[in-house]
Amino acid sequence: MTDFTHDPAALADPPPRPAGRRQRTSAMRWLVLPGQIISLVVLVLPLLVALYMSFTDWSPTRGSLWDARFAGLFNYEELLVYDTRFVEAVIRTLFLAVTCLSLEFALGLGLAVLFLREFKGKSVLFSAFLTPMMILPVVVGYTFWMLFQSNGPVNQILGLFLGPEAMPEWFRSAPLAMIAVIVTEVWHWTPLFFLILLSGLNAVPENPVRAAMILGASPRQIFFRVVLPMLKPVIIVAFVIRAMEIAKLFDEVFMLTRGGPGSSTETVSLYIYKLAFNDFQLAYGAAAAFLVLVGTLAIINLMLLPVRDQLLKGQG
Amino acid sequence: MMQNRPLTPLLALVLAAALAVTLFPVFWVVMTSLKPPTDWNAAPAIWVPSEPTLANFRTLFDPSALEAYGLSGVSQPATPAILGSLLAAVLATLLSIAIGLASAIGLSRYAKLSKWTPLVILSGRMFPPAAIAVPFVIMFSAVNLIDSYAGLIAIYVAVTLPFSTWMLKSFVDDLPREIEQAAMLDGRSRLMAHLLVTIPLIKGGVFATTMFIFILNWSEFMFALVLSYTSVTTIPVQLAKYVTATAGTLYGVQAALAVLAMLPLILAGYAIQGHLARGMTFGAVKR
Amino acid sequence: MTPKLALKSVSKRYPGADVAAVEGLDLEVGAGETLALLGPSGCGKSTTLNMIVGLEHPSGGRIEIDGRDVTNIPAGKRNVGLVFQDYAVFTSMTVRQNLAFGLSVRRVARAEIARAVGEVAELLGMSDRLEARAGDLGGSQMQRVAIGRTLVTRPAILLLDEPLSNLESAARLAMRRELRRLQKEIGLTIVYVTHDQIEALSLADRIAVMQAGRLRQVEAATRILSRPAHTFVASFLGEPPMTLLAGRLSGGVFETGGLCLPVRSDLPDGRLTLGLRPQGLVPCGAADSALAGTVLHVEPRGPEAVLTVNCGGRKVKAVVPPGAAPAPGQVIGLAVPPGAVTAFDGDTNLRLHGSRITLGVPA
Repeated sequence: MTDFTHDPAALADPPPRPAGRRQRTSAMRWLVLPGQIISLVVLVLPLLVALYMSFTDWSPTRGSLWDARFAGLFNYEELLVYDTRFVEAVIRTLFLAVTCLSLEFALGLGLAVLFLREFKGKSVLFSAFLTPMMILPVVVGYTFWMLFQSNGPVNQILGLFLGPEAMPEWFRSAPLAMIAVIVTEVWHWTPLFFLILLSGLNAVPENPVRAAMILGASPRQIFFRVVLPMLKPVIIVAFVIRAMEIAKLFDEVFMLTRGGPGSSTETVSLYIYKLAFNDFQLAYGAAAAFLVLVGTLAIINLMLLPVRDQLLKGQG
Repeated sequence: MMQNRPLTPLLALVLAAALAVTLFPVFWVVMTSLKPPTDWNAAPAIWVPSEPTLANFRTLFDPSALEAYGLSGVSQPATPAILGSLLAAVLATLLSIAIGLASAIGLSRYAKLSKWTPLVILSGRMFPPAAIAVPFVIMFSAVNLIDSYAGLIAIYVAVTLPFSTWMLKSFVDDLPREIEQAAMLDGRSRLMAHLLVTIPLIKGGVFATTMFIFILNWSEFMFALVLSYTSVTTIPVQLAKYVTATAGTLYGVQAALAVLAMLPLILAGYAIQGHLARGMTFGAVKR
Repeated sequence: MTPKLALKSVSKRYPGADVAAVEGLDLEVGAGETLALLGPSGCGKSTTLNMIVGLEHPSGGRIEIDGRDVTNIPAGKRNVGLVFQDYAVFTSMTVRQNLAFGLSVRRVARAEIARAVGEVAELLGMSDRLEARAGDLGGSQMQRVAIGRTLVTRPAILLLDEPLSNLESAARLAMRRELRRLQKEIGLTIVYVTHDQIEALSLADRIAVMQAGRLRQVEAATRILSRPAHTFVASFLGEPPMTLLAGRLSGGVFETGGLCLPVRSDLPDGRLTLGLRPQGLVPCGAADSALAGTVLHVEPRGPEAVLTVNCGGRKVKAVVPPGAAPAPGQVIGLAVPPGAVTAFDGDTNLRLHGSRITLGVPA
């Protein structure tokens, strides 16, 4: 995480004397050093160990990692070619990402647009709508596990409207368990989209909107053709952040379904966890994790492509 | 833009429905935490307990508290988990902020960032925790840090560092350089200028970041799950254990722990709601 | 001939405000005319502009375009174009998409849009930049896009809000030429809003001066400097503006502060304000004019110098050739030829017409 080049002129005080320059550079070195060290030791080093491990056939029952046999790309081939459970988990995670993000975006945008209207108690309601994203994932998972029990309130309400046959066992059916996961995720993270989109909407400059109005655009045309395109950077940021979280989705699913019934709601993170800590296939699990990392990096990079320069400007 | 139009009755209804859906799960877990055991698993489900009790909360600290209801099945008190969570989250947050602050000032004031920097920073958050957890277990076993708070805190600091660095950097970026330069011209050293000028000026931002990092650390589940055996527990792990050990039948006690777990986060979250977007987006969305 | 634009006793009051933002505004703009709406900030000119385009609804009065009452017609349907001070181009779109916007939201056929966009791009010299992202353009390019975007919809009137104030001086000159060329080439009716008199004087056929929500004068740009109709216009226009002396006329003597000036005129006795045009005053010997005093300072301005003379406690400005400038501290007189003095009613602040005044010649 320390990909930067020195810019001696960054804190320019004229004239730039050699001593001052050295002083500035060393100031930066010392300031970022602790962060670099801890990132190296606690993030980069384990990552390298995991990478090495993924090319071996190591398992803790067979002694030390350093004595393990080098297996080349065996683990990777196994995962991509033969491990249908892994491939399914990847597809399922992608499906979750697309479904949840679309729903969260649509609901968050709708709510944000409502908040452009004038009404009483706006600031209190604003806080109230943000509540879900402040709650820890484990508690969210546990709460929705309670809500979706067969004698829980969700079924109670469904039964009230649709009759007693609409009171299923949510966690015994693959599609229903998936719906429960999606509902939980969407409830948990729609507030993030709401928050980001609302701050984006409030920052939209007034004059282009008025210009479009004078040019004869309808409110709908103004919203979709002028306002939304101006929100593109924040929308992409929101999608990127959420996509990363879905790639790592673990806590809520662990509490809700443990990936069940069978492996029908198993995300890649959950599968990797089970590989490593239930089956002790550590090398294999590490390989799976690297495949996920490479895939996520590629997707995120593609998503960021159109706004990276803008983001940098905003930050730099 | 497009502001000042009033809410039509239909839209008000939509808003009310959305509010109900948003708050209902919170309502449910709070209500459940107040239910006596007889109400826990009733069919049809009981929304508001007829005789609300704090016995569930007492049980967390004293497993015999529910004996009055004929229950003695809660094997472990949650006290170690609560203390463990406090210790790990508070220490890790303070360390992450201290290190992040130094990095933020260094990066904001003295470095020119390449266009890849955001991606590199982001990738720190992209790696599936389960995968780093494995080498952690190996490395920490080698240096005897497994099942220790020191090990857990080290991971929390490393994992939250990109967030604290980037969020704090966005606050430092907002500050005009001239202010520090004035202090430096007064003959102070660079370090003193930052300590005495930069940091006090962004103390609001430091507070917001601290709360945000605390939320992240307090919420963390997987590392705590795989790196703790007996001496280290946190609230999320304890909650999972309760659910597993009792097949989820101790609704009231579990809900009480859930309420204890989320209460500080909701308070911290409300306190810094103006900065939540900045934190979640690594400072890209400023308000 | 019906005027292109007519405002009939238009007023605007904001709820909760004590003073009307615009009060009883009557104004006509002829076809092909260029009118500048000039005034200091807060004078109501922007409110007037917003009412013309339909972004704000007047509290009273009527607005007509081509003889049609548009008072209750929404902004997008009035067939007027507005160019914002900050251009307000759609930064995420290309230049082509910007230009096409007004037609494409009206669902005009694609071929027709392409033709109109091509034509306007040609007119503005932007044909080679059509695929550029509007947000990447420089200031004057953005302004061309903003102008072109409205021209594509063939507006009856083009309104420009401070069109030159965001441009650097070189670009400002070029844009000024450009606007005049456009106006000539396509016979546009243009209304400018500006606080800059140089901009108004150089661009407009006529200038409408507003102050405190009221229209003070509408006059041809070539004449407004020498014929201010209101003390505000006299004090706002000109560089330096007229020196205004408020006082009393009685028995052939005009008394203002500590200064007494002999006056020969057909004006009745009473409260009176005299305006002295700096360019008209001529330095002379201290004894040769009743208007005399110490030179406070001399401000050289290239081809001329501005004198500030303390005449009995009133500061009077005069413009002289730099060679003829006296030194500060010197005591001089200022001769006032009949054309250099304008009389205003002391109560209404309106110009008193038809009176010849001779001032300052010692009796």
